[in-house]
Amino acid sequence: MKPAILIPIFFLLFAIPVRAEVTQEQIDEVGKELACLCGDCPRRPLDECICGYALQQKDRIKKMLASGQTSQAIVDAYISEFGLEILSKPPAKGFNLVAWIMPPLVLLLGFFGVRSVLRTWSKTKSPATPASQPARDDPYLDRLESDLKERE
Amino acid sequence: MLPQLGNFLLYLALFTSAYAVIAAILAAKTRRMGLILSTERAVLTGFILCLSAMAILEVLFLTDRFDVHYIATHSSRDLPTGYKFTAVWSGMQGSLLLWALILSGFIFFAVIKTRAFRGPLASYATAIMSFTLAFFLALICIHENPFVTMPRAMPDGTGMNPLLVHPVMAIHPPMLYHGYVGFTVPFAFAMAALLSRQIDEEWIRTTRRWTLLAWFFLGTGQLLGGKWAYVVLGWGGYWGWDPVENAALLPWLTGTAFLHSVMIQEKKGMLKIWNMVLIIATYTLCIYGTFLTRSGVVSSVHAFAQSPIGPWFGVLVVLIVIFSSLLLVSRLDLLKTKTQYESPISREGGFLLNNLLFLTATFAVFWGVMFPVISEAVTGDKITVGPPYFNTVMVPIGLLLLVLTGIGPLLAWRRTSGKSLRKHFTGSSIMGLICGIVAIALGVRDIYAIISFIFCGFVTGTIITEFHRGARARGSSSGESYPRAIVNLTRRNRRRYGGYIIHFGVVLLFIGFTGNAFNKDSQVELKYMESTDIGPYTLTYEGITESVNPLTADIVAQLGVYKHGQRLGTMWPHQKVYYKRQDQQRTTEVAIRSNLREDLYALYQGVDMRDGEEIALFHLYINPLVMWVWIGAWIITIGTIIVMWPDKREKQVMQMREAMA
Repeated sequence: MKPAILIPIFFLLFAIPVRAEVTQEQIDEVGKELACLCGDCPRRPLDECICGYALQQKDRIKKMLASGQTSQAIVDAYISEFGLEILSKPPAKGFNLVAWIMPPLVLLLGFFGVRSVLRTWSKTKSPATPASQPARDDPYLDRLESDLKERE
Repeated sequence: MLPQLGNFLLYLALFTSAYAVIAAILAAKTRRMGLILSTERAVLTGFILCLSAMAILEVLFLTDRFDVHYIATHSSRDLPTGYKFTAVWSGMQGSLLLWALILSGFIFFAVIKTRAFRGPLASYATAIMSFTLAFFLALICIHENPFVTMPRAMPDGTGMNPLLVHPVMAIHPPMLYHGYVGFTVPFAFAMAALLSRQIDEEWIRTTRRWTLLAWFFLGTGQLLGGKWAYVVLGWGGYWGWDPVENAALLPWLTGTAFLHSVMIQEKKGMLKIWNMVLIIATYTLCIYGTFLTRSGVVSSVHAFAQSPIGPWFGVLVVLIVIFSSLLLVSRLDLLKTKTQYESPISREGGFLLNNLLFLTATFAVFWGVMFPVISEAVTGDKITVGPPYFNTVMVPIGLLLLVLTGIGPLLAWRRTSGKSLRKHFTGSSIMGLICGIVAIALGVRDIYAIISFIFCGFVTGTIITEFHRGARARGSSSGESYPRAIVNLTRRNRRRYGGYIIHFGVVLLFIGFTGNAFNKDSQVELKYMESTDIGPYTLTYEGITESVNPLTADIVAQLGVYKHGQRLGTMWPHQKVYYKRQDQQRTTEVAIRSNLREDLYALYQGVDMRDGEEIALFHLYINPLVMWVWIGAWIITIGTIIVMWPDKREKQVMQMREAMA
C-alpha cells in the first residue's frame, strides 16, 4: 500500500462521529428549549421537569448528543416530530412574534397615554402651590413634615 | 335525610339571595326603611343558610356518608379526621360551596359595617353582592350540587387526591377564595357609587379595609400555593407560571395597582375614572380566573375537571364587562377630576407609573396565558408559552416595580424639587450601590441579579430613611427615645408606616426570587454508601427503609449530609405509595435543609437494579435564598395587620357619621 493512500484515510478518521462524553449542562441546554408534553406537568421546560416522561426525553437527548448531533439539530428534530408545541416558549418569528412584541408595546403605548393625560391635566390645573408640599395624611403628619422642614 | 336537608338549604339560600337582590334594588330606589331592613335580614338568613349547608356537608364527610356521590369520590374511611374536614373543598362542588359561604359572610359583614350610613349606596352594593351570591348558588344547585346521593352507598370512598393531603393545602384554597371573593365588596360599592351617583370618596373609604383584606388573602394564598408546590410537587421550585397560578396573579396585580391609585383619589380627588376601571378589571379577573380554573380552556395541574359551569363563568365575565363599562360611560361627566397636577416628578407621577407597570405586568401575564389559544386560532399550530417566556417578559417589569417602591415614598405630592430629590435619594442610592458592589464581590455575575440586589438595597434605604426621618422629628418634638419614637410613629400613622413594612416584605420576596438565578441541580445515581457533591455539600446514600401505614406505604431513603468533611445531619427524602387506591398513586416527599443562605433540597426518585446491585436515583438542588420568600411573606402579613388595625380616630369619625345618620 502506497503511503499516499493513508492521507485521506487519516483525514476521514476525523469525520467519523465519536461517542463523546455528554455533560448534564449540555442536556440541560437543549432541555430548557423544550417543554414537557406529558400532559400532567404545566409544560415545564424539560431541564426542570422531573416526571417520568421528562426523564425519558432527557435520556433521548443525551443519546442524540452522544451521537454527535448539535443542540439545534436536536431541537429541530423534536419540532419535526411534535410541532412547535414542543418549544418551551413561542418562536420569535411569524405570527408568534406577536407574543414577544405585545408586552413592551403595551408599556410604550401606556407610557405615551399617561404622558398625554398628564399634559391635559397640567393645562387645566388649579392655582399653583408651593413645591414639595408634603403628603397630608393627618394633622400629625403635617406637624411631622413641618418639623422635618425646620431641621433642613 | 341530611343530604336532602343540605340540598333544601341550598335552594333556600338561592331563593333568599335572589330576594335580597330585588329587595335591595327596591330599597335603593324608594329608600324605604322597611325594605332596607328586609334586605339586611335576607342577607343574614342567606349567610346562616350557607353556613348550615356547609356544616351539613362537613358532618357528612366526617361520618363517611358514601351514599353521597361527592363524598364517595373525595374521601375515604382511612383519611385522617383533619383531612376529612378539609376534603370538603378538595373538589369542584365543595369548593364552590365554600366560595358561596365566604361570599355570604362577606356580604353579611359588609351590611353590618354599612348600617351607619344606610342608603342607596349601601343598598345597591348589597344588590350586586347578593347577585353574585345568587349566581354561585344557582350553579351549585343546578350543576355542581355536593348533596347528590346515589341509590346505593359505596363501602368506601375513592379517597382524597393524595397531592392535596398536606397541611398547606388545607388552608391555601380558603385563603385564595377569601381573596377572590373579597374583591366583590369594593367592586359592588364602586358600581353602587355609579348607580346612586354618589361619586365621592365614600365608596373607597368604606371598602379600603375590604380591599386590603382581599389583596392580602389573594397574595398569601398564592405564596401558600407556592410553598405547597415547593414541598409536595418536588420539582425544586415554588412558582411555575402555570395558567391557574397566573389566574390568581392577575387580579392581585390589578388589585395592587388599585390599592395604590385610590390613595391619589382620597388625597387629591384625582383618577376617579381610572380607579373604577381598576376595580372593574380586578373583579372581572377574579371571575375570569374562576372561569380558567373550571372551564378546561387551558390545561393546568391545578385545574378542576372540565365542568358545564365553565361557560357560565364566561358569560358572567362578559356580563360584568358590558354592565360595568356601560355604567361607567354613562357617569363619565360625574367623574371628572378637579385636577391639581403640576409635575411628573411628584408622588402622583410615581403612582401613575406604578399603575402603568402593574397594568403592563397584568397584560403580559394575561397575554402569555391566552396566547396559545390565540395562536392556535390564527395559525392552526399549537404552541407552548412556558416559564421561559414569563421570566423573560416579567423580570424587567418586576425590577422596575421594585425600584419604584423605593422612589415613590421619597417623592412629594404635586412637585418634588431637585434639591429635595438629591437630599432624599443620596442615602438610598448609596445603600443600593453598596449592595451591588457586595454582590459583585461575592461573585454574582448575572446582570438581572446584580440589578435586583442594587434595587433591594435602594428600597431598603428608602424605608430606613423614612422611619429615621419620622423618628428623629418625633423624638425632637416630644423628647421620646428613638425606639419609642419609631413605635409611636407607626402607631400614629399605621397606613403609611405599615405600608413601608409591607414594602420591606416585598424587598425580601425579591431577594428570594433573585436566588433563582443561582439554582443548581443534579441528577445522581448512587450505590449504597456512595457519595456525591452538590455545591458545598457532600451527600452519602445510606440505604432505604420501608414501612406500611394505614394510608400509605412509605419508602424512605437516607442521605447523610456533610460539609467540609463534617456531618451536618441526615435527610430523608421519600415516596409514599397510596396502596389502597386503584391507581396506586405515588407522591414524593422532599427533604429540605433550609438556612438563610440556601436550601438543600433532595428528591428521591426510586431505585434501579443493575447487575444485581441496588442503585438509588436522586434529584438534588441547591436553591439559594428561598427562605427569604417565606420571611418576606411574614413581614407582609405583619405590615398588613398594622395597616388594617382599627384606628381610634377612624372609629370616632364612624361614630359621628352614625350619629348624623
